[in-house]
Amino acid sequence: MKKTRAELERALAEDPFDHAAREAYAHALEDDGETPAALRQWELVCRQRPDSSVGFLGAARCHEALGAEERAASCLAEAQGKRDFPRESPTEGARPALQVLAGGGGPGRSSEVVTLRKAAVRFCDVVGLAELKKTIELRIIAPFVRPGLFARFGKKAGGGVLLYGPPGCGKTMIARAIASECKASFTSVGISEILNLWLGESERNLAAVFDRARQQRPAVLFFDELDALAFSRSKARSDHTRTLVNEFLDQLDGVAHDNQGVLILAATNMPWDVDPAMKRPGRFDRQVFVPPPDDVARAEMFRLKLATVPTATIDLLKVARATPHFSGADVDGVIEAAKERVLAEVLDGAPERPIRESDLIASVSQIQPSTLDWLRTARNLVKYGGDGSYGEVEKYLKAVKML
Amino acid sequence: MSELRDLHRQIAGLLEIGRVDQARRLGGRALGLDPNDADTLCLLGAIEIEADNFSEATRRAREALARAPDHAGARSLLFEALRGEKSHAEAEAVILGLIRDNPRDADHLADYAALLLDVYQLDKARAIVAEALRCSPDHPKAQVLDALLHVIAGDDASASARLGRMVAADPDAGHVAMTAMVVLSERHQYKEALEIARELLRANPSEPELVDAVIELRVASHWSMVPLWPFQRGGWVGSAVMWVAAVFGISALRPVVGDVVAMTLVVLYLALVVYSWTGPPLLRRWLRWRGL
Amino acid sequence: MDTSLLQPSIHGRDPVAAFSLRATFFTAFFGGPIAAVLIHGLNAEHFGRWERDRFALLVALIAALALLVCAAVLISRPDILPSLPEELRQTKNMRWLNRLSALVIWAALYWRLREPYRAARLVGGHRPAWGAGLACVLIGFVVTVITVTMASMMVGRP
Repeated sequence: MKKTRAELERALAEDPFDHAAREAYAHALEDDGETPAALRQWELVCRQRPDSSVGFLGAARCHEALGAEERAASCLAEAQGKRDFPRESPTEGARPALQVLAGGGGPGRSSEVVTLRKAAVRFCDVVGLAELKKTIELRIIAPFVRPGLFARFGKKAGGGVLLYGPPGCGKTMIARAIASECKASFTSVGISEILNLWLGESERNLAAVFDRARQQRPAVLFFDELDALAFSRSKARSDHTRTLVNEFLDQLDGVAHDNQGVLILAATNMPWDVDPAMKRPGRFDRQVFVPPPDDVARAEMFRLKLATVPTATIDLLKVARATPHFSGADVDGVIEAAKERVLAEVLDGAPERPIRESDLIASVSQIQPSTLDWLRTARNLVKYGGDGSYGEVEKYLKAVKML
Repeated sequence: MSELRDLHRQIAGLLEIGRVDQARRLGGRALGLDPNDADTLCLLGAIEIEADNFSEATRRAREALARAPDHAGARSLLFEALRGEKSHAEAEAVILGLIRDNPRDADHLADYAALLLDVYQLDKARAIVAEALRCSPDHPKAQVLDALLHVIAGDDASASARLGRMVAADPDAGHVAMTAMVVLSERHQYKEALEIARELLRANPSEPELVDAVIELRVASHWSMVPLWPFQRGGWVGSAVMWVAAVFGISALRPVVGDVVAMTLVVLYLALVVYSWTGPPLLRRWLRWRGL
Repeated sequence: MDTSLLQPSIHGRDPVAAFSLRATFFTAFFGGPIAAVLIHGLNAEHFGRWERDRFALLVALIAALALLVCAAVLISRPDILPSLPEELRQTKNMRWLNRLSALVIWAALYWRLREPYRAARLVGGHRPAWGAGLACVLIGFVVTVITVTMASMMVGRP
C-alpha cells in the first residue's frame, strides 16, 4: 500500500538511511509539486547511493522543472553512466533549486556552490592519525550512520564535535572526511562566510544556516575557525559579538531546536578563544585534539607529495625525523624550497637533476615549523593553567618531550 | 561605497577577535578602494595599535585628521597612539580637546584618568574617575581605574567593595577578573588571586605576563614561603623592621639570654635572610620548569 | 565638573619609570641616611612630585645631617651627655645607629611617596637602579665622611 507523506516522514526520522522511503518521499513531493523540496531529497539519495541512477534522474527532472537546464543535463549524463540506468527522460518544469553550500580547501576560500559530483575527501586521504581516525569512526561517524544500533545502546547520533589543534594539521580535511563518511549533505561555514555573516543581520543569517541544515538532514554542518564566530564573550568588546554567540548557543540548544540527525562539526586553532559555554554538554561537548603528524605520517606525506616530481633515492623517514613538529603545510614548504634549490642550480648552468635527500635536508633549515607557537601556548595552558580538558594535548606534549 | 562600509565592518569584527593579519589584509583592500577615507585610515591605525606599533598608528591618525580634522575616531586613535608612545603631554592635549567637546563622555574621561595614572597624578586621576562614574556608573574602564586607585591609596576595603559591585554586574568579564586578581593579591589573598590568574591564563595562554603572574602568585602562596611571612606581609618596611629587631633586639637580649642563645638567634636571622634571597628565585625556577 | 580638572597638568619632560622600592631599600641600607634622601629625591623627580616633596626631602636631609653631626659630636666629646652609655659612643655601634637612622628616614620618605610607589609597582615599570644606587651610596659615603670629619674638627676635644 502506498504510504502517505506523513508516514514517510516518520519512517525517515527513525532511519534517515532508508533508501526506499526516501525515494518514495521524493516522488511524493514531486507529485505534490514541491519541486525544491523534492530536489533536496533526490540530492540526498545521490549521496547515499552514488552508484544508482535513481537519484540523479530525480534530480535531473527537478532541475528541468525549475528551469536549470544545464544542471538537468549534467545530472542526466551522470545517470546514464550508471549500470541501472533505465530509458527515461526528464520531465518538464522550471524553478531554481536549493544549492548545497560548501567551502573550498584553502585560505581565502569563498562561499560557493559545489556540484554533487565534487570529489569528496575520504578518511583514506588523510595521512596518518590512525588512532584519531579510529576514535572518530567509533564516536562520531558510526553513531551517525547507524543510529538505530547506537540508540539500542543508549548512544545518540549527531551533536557537536570540536576539532582543535595547531594550524595546518588537517582539521578541516578531517571534518570533510567525516562528512563524506557520514554520507550526509554538507554545509561549510568558513572565515569568508563569517565575514559575510557580519554584514547585515548576523543572527538571522546564522539561524538560516542551521535551518537549511535541518531541512537537509541527515546533514553535516561544519564551522571552520569557530573562534571567529563564537569568540569568548568575556573578551568581546562589542555587543554584536555577544549577541551572535548567544544566537549560536540557542541554535545548538537541543531543547529549543530539533538537531537530531544534524552533526555539527567545528574546527579551531584557538580553542581558548572559543566561548566556554560552547564546550558545555549539549553543545560542542566532544573535543578532539588533532596533533601534528608524527614521523611516519610525515614520511608518507613526503612520499605522496614527491610522487609527481623527479627524485633520487630518498630515505623519507630520515627526512621526516629531521622535521619534528612540521605540519602538512610545512612539509609543502620544505618540498618547494628543495625544488627551488634544484631549479636555481639548473638555471645557473648545472645539468638537470632530480631532487636529492640532501636538498630536502638543507631546505629544512629554511622552514620554521608553524606548529611551534601553538604548542608553546598550549604548554602554558597545560603547565600553568591547570585546565584538565586538554589531557590529550598534555599527553602529546609529554610524548614529544615538550613537557 | 557600500563595499567600503562592508569592509570596515569586517575589519572591526576581525580586530574584535584579535585577527590582526587578516584585518590588515582587508585594510589594504579598503585603502585601495579609497585612500582618502578617514574611517579607513582610523581602522588601519587601530590595527597598528593592536600590533603595538604606536608610531605607525600615530602616523595613520594624523593622516586621518589631515583629511577630516574633526573626526572623533581619529582623535581618539591619536590619543591612544601618543599614550602608547609615552608622549604624555601631547596625549593630554588631545584628550582634553575631546573632553571639552563632549564633557559627559565617560570613555574620554576614563582615558584621561588612565593617562594621569601613567604620570602618577593620582589625585587628579581620582577626580576624573569620579566624574566618569558620575556620567556612567557602569563604565568598565572607569570602574577598574576606581578600584585600582583605591588599591594604590591603600584602601583595600573600598577596593574590595568596588570589586564586589563589578563582579555582581558582570562576573564573566575579563576586566573584572583582572581587577579581582590585583585586589586579592594586594590583600595578600594569594590563593584566591592564583585561581583567578589561572582562569585568566586559560583564556589567554599566549600572554607571558599572565604566566609570570601565575608563577609569582604560586610562589607567594607556596607552603615553603611561610617562614618569609613577615617579609611578604610587611614588604621592604617589614624587612627593615626585621633588621632592626634582629640587630637591636638580639643585642638587648644578649645579657639576659646568654651568648649561645644570642648567637643562635643571629644565625637563625641570617639563615632567614639568605633564604629570603635564594628561596623565592629557586622556587620560581622550579615552578617554571615543572609547572604548577 | 570642576573646570580646573580640564587644565593641562602634564608639563615639560614626561615622567620616566622610577627605581623600585627594593633598590631604594638597599641604597639606604648600604649608603646611609644621605643616600636614602638622594634616592628618594630622584624618585620624587621621576614621579613628577619634586615641587610637592622638595620641602619634605629638605627636612629629611637636614635631619640626616643633624644625626651625623650629633654622632660626630658624641664620639668626639665624651663630656657631652655624660649619662649616655659608653657603648653608644663606640664607632662600631654608631655605625648601627647610622644604619638605623638611614632606614627610619627611608621609611619616612617611602611613607610620603607610598602612593606613587604602589602605582609604579602595579601599573608602571621600574628602571634599573644599579648606576643611580651606587652613585647615591658613594655620594652618601663621601658626604657622611665630610660631615663627620668637619663636625669632629669643629667641636674639637676639650
